[in-house]
Amino acid sequence: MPVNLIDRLYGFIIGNGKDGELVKNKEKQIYNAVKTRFIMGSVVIALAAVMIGLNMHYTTEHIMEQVSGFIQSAAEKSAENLDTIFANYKSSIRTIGILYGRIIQTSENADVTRLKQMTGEVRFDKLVYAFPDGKAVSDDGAEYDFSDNPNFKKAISGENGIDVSVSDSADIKNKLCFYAPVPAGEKNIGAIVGYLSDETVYKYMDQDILGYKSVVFLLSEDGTIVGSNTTEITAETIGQSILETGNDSEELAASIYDSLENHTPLVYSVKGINGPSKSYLTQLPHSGFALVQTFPSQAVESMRATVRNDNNVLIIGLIVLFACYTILLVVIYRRKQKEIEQENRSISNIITAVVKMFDRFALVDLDNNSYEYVSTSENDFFPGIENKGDYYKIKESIFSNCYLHNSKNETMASYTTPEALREALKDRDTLMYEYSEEYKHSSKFRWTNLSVICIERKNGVPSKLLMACKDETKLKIEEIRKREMLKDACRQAENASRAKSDFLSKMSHDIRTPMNAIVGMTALAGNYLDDKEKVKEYLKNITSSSRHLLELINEVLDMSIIESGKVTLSEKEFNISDMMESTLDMVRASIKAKNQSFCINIISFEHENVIGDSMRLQKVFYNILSNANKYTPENGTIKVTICEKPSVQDNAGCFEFIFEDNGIGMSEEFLKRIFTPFERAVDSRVDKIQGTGLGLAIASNIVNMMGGSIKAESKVGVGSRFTVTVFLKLISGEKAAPEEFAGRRALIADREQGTCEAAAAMLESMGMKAEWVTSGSEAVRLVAEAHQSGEDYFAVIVGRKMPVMDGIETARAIREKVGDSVPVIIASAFDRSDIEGEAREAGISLFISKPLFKTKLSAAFRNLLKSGKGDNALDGDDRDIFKGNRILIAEDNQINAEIITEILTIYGIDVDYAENGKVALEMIKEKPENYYGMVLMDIQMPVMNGCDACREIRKLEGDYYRNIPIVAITANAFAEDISETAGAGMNGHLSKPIDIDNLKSTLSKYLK
Amino acid sequence: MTIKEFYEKIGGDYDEVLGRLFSEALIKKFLIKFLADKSYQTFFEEIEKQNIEEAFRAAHTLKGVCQNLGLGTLYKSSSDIAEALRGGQNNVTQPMHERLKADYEYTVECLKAID
Repeated sequence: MPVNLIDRLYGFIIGNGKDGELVKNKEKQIYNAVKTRFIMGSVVIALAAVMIGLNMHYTTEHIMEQVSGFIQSAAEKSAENLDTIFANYKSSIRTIGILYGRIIQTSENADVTRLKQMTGEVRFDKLVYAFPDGKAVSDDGAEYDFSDNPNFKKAISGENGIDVSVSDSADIKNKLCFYAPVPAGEKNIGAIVGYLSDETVYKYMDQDILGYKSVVFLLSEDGTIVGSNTTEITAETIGQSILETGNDSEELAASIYDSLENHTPLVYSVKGINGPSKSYLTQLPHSGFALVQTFPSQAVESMRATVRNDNNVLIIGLIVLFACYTILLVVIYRRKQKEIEQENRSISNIITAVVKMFDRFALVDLDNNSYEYVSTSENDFFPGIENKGDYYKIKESIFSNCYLHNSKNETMASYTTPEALREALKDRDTLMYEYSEEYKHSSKFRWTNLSVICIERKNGVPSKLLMACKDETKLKIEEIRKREMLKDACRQAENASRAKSDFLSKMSHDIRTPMNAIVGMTALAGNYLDDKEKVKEYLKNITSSSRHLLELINEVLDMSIIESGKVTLSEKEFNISDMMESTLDMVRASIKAKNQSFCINIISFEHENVIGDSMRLQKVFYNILSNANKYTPENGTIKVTICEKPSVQDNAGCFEFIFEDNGIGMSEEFLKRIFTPFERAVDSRVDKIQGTGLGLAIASNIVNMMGGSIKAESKVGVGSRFTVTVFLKLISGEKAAPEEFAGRRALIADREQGTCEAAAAMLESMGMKAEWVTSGSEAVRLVAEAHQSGEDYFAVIVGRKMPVMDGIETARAIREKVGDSVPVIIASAFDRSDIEGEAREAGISLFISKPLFKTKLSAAFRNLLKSGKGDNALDGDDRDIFKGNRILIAEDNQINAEIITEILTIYGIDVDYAENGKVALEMIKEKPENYYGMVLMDIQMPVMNGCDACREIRKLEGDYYRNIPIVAITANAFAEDISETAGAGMNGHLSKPIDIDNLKSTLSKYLK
Repeated sequence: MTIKEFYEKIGGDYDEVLGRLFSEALIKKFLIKFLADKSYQTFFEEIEKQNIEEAFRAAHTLKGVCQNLGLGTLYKSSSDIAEALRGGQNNVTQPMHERLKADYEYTVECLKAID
């Protein structure tokens, strides 16, 4: 898959058609959101900062206002203070003048010493006494000329005042002077002037505000600085001072001078060393000076700093807040980014998965008639398709040979026009189409599932679509296959159901017949209620019809039990030879009645005694054989082949039974249904043949239950062959082959090589030396040769039917050649009665019925040994062989009973006779235990039938009653009858007409 | 008429009977007993009474005896009757009756002719 495919699909899905935009867009969205918040935060912070700035500004102004107020009051106070001090000095100098006048009385007396005395009391830094002529002397003895001194002139004229000192006249650097006259009587005898030094003035003006020095200037009326509390100022006038401090403003100077002139106070701003400050100019009311005091800029600064510090704390707080906010945003951004990444991964997974589900995608822009195409399939179906292009064109080329599901006429092209798609998507967002597509140059089909998803609408009209295609050929093929299977199953079920209905309708016909009889008879009986005899008759008829009905229903029930699988197989020892014999007994009469030729062969047979359900197996064989009999025309052939095959299981033998006939056969179509219950071939040839249609179904079910198999082959008009293979448990430690005939030679002559080989193998297993030939003449030759060499065969077994020279002719020829020295046994599958006379004439020693089982051969040989040779065996030496036994015969027909009695008497057997089952039961009960060695029981008897009698006997207490051999005598037996005898507890059965051989072998089985 | 001739006459199989019963003497003995057997009569009596079950049993017995004695034609006709009566149904037709009657009478006639 192309790496950028998912990106392209993202693009498709978000609908802008650009590749890889989804992730970026989403990230951008988040980034923008965070950015917006960041900017908003910044603006808030900035606003706060401006607010703080403004606040600062206003605070500064406020501070300056405060400073103004403060300096005003401070300056007023300083001015008042100084004025008072100056007033004190003025009155002091006046007092000194008066005192000094009184002391000196006359100017001549004036001297320095006295002046000095005055000085000690006042706090003037210099004290000068001026004579009326202007000559002046100071307290430190210096002399001056004050004649031009304006202050002296004012003082001598009697004025007391304060003024700026005139430096040249008193040679002093003191700035302020106080003057007063020195009166003596009415005249002034001089003037006194006191000086204050700069230091003293300084001392008076020294002031602190908030711990900082507040500069104070003392100004004269013309603005000259006459005193200050700072030495750092060199300026002589206030104007210069303003300039010095950097307040270069003429306007300010003008207003200052204006103020000085008009004696009005003034506040003005100044630039201090540490920033802006305020100064205040005010008048000293009494001394004619003005005073300028400046608020210390450090104090302003410190006030502002306090405010600023507060603001700084605020700003730092804001910054911290902003930083936190930013970090928060970053964290949120990161987290969102992670979420988006996660989401992207999920979407990517989903899309990857979705992409795998579909093979091709196309984004279609209906408005612009354009498409974009992506294929994820390794083998793209449209190798030539452009990735982008004209939608209408491409649609025509792709969809014009695609047919909508279940439609041969409508192509997908008409469903995928922009108009059709718009219409179809009017009310919904998704469409799904399933269509088949013909391969070019091939008859194969491909199935595709097309999903159309509307991803963008303009005014409700679809404009952009995503088309996704998925190859569903495999699924579809599977679906079609399954549908066919279901159809088949359905058809089968229908057939079964129909067969059942057919069967039921047939059965109901059969049921209706006795039912009609019952209803009719009941009605008749109702009409003749008074006539006892008639009612009795009707009731009898009703009973018999009801019984018949019951039988019929039982049959159906049996079948349904087998069908429902509720049957359990019995596990009993049985002899296959006996079982086959019984089976053949059941069909012999019918086969003979149709004059069908019957032959039975054994191809190798090792184990005769096995464990299994012999009754059911017999049922299987009977069903097959009776079918063969039914469906084979008169004079047809039925052939049975028995074979024991090598078994893969240790303790089980594999037995194969083949039943062949040359009857009407079955169609191939019917052969398929032959084992289906209720099936009968619909065929005019078989309409007249009665049957329930259950026989083979039951047979098949039984064989399957036994784990075996049943196979049917057939051809119409040729015949049928059924092969039954079953596995039967072998009896461990089965009796070894009898050794009594070991070493003896036997010759077998039969037209069937297989029969010869099987018989030879069997004889060899008995320890005998067996030879075989397939023709009569050959047999005669060998017998003659053996006779000549003095080693006669112990026995010669000839098949009845052989080409050229048949069994009887062979026997005759042997008799002619070697006389009676060699016993000849004739083996016949069936109908030996018709040849018996001829055979005896020809010198046949014994008859033996095919198939040649080991037990049968042994019995025949034993007969030969006992009887010597020839016919004598029949009535001579058999006499009294069962002497000492007592048998009970239950038989309603006297003749039959007598016949059996006669034969049994020959064998030396004592016979008791009972005319029905009930009498037999009574007799057994009356006699002591072990009185009878055996019971021969007819089945059809009045009063109590054979089966019921047997059941009653078995119910009696004691081992004797449980174990006494009871053998049924059945005429023209039905399989069901035989099953019933076994069910009633009988040990075996003999078929009528009584056959001496069978009777004898049965007797030897059960008698001592 | 010898036994063998008898069987040839009535369409029976002498050899078959001999094969089972060993001796002509025995066969003869039983054949004479057959004349005393009442199954045939019983059958007609019961069928007259519409007593299907009993009629069936009688026919069945007759059939069994004929089978034992190798009385070919009578065996065939009695067997057909028995089958027609099996299971309580009465499917016996008039021709079947007549045939049974004819066969029985013929057989008895022949039997009486045995030396």
